[in-house]
Amino acid sequence: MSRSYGVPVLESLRKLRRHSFIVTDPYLPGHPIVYASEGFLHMTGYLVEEVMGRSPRFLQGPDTDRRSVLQLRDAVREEKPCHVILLNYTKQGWPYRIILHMAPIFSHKNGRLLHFVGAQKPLSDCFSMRCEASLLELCKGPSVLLGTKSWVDSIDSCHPPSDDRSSYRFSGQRKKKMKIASTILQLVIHELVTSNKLMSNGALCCRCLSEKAEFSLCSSLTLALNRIQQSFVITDPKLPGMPVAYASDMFLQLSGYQRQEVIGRSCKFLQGQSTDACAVEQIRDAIREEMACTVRILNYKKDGSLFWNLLHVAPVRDHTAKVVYYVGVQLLSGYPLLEDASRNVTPAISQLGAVGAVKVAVRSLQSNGLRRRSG
Amino acid sequence: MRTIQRVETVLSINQYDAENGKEPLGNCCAPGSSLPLFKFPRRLRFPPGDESCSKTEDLDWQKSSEFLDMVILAQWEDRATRGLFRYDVTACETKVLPGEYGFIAQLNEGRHSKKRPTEFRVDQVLQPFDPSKFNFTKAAKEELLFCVESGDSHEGEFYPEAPVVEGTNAVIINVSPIEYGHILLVPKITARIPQRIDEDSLLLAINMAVEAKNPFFRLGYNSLGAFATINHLHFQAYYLAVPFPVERAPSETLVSRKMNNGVKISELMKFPVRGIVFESADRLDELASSVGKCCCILQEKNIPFNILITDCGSMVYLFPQCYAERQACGKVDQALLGTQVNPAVWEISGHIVLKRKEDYERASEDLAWRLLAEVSLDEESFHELKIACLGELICGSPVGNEVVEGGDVSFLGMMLHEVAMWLEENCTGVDAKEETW
Repeated sequence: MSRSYGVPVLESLRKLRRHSFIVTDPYLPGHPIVYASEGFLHMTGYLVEEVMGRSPRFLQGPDTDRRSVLQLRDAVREEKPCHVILLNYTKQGWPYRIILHMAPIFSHKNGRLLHFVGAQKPLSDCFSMRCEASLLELCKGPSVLLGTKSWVDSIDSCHPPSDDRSSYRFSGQRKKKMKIASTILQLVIHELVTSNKLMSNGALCCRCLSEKAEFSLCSSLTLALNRIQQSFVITDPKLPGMPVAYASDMFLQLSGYQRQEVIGRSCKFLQGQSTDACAVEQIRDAIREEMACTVRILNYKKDGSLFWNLLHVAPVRDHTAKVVYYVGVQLLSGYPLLEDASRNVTPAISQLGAVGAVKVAVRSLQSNGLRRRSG
Repeated sequence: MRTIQRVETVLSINQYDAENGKEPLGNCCAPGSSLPLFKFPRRLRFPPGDESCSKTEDLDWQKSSEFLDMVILAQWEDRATRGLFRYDVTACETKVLPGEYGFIAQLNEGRHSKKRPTEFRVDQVLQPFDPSKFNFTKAAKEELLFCVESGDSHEGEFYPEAPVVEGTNAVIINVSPIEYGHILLVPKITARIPQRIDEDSLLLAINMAVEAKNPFFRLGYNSLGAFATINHLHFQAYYLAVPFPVERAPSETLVSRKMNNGVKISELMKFPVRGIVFESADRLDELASSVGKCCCILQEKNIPFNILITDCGSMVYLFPQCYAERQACGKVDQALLGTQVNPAVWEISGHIVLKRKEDYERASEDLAWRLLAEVSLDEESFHELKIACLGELICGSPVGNEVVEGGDVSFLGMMLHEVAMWLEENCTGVDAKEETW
């Protein structure tokens, strides 16, 4: 959290601690909670250590409407805000319905998605807290940048999501709760956005470059790629030198480089004096023909040591059917991954599996991808 | 006898070209030979979800659960590099149509073969197996990716070469894929079962969905008369990392989980095709049983239907349909017929493959809606079907005006009341003024 917003943000968020909200990281598997307010812990009955790093799915249970969950997933994928009515469960197992209002936070510096914020407001009267009154006071305070009024207007005009069959008695209350939830959300977002702005003013130059290259990979694509347990890089053939747009953790481990040393650089950095020019030529030919190839090439790690790399390079197309990336999957000759050996999976299978997973992800998630367009 | 003329979809190379001379699968799947095998772990219940308890468990779960995914994708990519597919499906343009549901359209000129249209009988859902016609034992050996069977360990296991047992299930590529990773699951391939559903085969399909642990890996089934082309029991499956329109549609509960061994049954609402939705977070076999019972009734009544298994196996959609019948009677609008879209399970779910460029450019949610409306049973017939399939479970008319999603209304009401009482006693300063502002 402090990396994107600076340490003071935790102080400002504590001002809002009576309200129930969480901040989640869409780049990590499971979309885990990275910050939870006291109000949230109070409402759900959990302790902070039981909640941090976990996907908020643990709050759901057997009777939670799957369609609401799908709506949330849609919003995360499309990096858009949304509000749903959700059935959650406290630590003791009591079900209770909430209005969950969720919104993305984008970096001021490069527009990249940072986190999602979710504000919860229980629907049932029994869970009302005194914090309602204090919320009123906070509203009169700092002006909210993102325009509370337009948010509130949009809620007034929209119909309650997913659950149409609720009795009329609740609909008036529901609107009120929605307004409250969205206001909480606005306040939290305000704090985070302000802190992020302060951060970016003091940003380092080299970070600018790497984040710019990563900018082309949205959170859902990055997440999908993060899940692939293989050493591989994604390179962009449209830019000169075919720079690396993504490098997996295992690649960094294998090559000895740090992520920021690799992103934005041409993948030639793995080549060196003894690297066979023919092999390089083979790769170049394949790329020109938009075809896949496998070559055995001598590569150099960061520390200068050599390794024989059984490299498989394949073109990857997006939904427009054009080649947008090349994926290069590295395989250290004579070095099968331990888990794979016990599972009877040959290194070749692992390599191809990575290629397949990349193709599936890029086809739907690259840039606009297969996402609903507004309007 | 009602029939329609259709160009057969080519699912296997040997179906396309009888003189291919490639070694047929049937021989290799006989006991005595060795084939790659994936063994499913022993699993009675749906896994708890991707949060689990501790973080290290999360990682193990992820690693083991994405194993089947990796094997399928790797084998598929391998066959692709060997040129076994009729075209590169990732080179087929695809887009999401504007609108709330996000129908997905694909321009695929290569899928439809140039063969002459053949006659398909569309008035009989159950037809006996005809060994003279194409079936999957006649597919080429390279088209087999691996066999699947239920195992006894707690993890999935893969064996590059394992002795084939009687009644093994085959996973084969679809040589005319709709999407990346398009495969066919053929239960008990050597038993040569005709295209008809039963609980066992459903359980196998659900197991596969659970094991792949990927909400974008979906399985589908088309009965005869609902655009199945080959009368040999098979499911289809592929990867598409996008929510399907049908998954976005709301539903109204017909039968709660508590009354049906953990399987919630609802009716699909606000969707052009009427359907029944089965959901479970509990036992896999109960879900298979629930769906299987309804399918048997549909098969008895000779009503064609399609099945979609999604959300890692925990959601199953059942769509009875009558498009082929309407087509045979000449009731379908010519403009819709012109697109030559055969509304099978993928089309009904919202993924529509178009053959002509002009159809692709003109595609719209409205057009998709109109096409699918022709597929659906009308309200009266559907209602009759609901009663026939679920009669004993639905206590009268659908539960209306529920305050909660699913679950027993009175039970939850009681629970909330108890909670309210507890809070009143224990919470200080519950602000009564909340109501007024």
